[in-house]
Amino acid sequence: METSPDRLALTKLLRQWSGGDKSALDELMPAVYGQLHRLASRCLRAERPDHTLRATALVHEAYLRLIDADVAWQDRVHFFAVSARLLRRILVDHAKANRRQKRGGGAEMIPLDEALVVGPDSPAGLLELDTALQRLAAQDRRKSEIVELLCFGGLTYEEAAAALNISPATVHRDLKLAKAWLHRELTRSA
Amino acid sequence: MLHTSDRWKQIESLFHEGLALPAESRLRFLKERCGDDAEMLKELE
Repeated sequence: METSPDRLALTKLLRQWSGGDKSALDELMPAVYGQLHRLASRCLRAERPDHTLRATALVHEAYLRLIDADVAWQDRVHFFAVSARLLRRILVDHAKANRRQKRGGGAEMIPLDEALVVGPDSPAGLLELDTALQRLAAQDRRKSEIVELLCFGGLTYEEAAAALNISPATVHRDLKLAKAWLHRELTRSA
Repeated sequence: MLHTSDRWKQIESLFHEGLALPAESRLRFLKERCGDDAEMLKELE
């Protein structure tokens, strides 16, 4: 793997942001977005995108490319959290463009981590999930954020808890209702 | 459907109480607790 000259600078920004410096995030985000976008595009261009793109793998690869290995667990969690948000946007944009061009539904069926909403009897597409998550956010922002972190960033329950500053037990409890709610929303509109 | 936060909290707490019960008694529990509130029952079913 090539060592990016920006790696140390980005790692420093991540530490600053994780330590509470909000402006560091503004500098960090474009680099993370760019890297995620490149990696995602590469996967989505592949012949069978449904087999090659997994949110967790993608976010981890971006992390390895951008950030120095020597960071605290908490900082890593912050990176994954911002990546989850950005990746959601990237994938949704891609799916929308695809739908406009009517080039088949490949990108809409990207397998997301935590196959929580896309169960066997709920073949929901990415755009439907995104819309349902927006509705959930209007009702209960925290639950929507938890799902975002797990689905689009591949965070563990423990990491999601740390990112949102709540206990893992709360993540667990919130998820139960969020899953049931999303499942109902997605099967109803399907 | 968008709920007021009180109603959402109520739904949430009934959801967890119901989930803690064995499946066969769940619906009866919800029917009792929702009473005449058919809308709420529908949300939880």
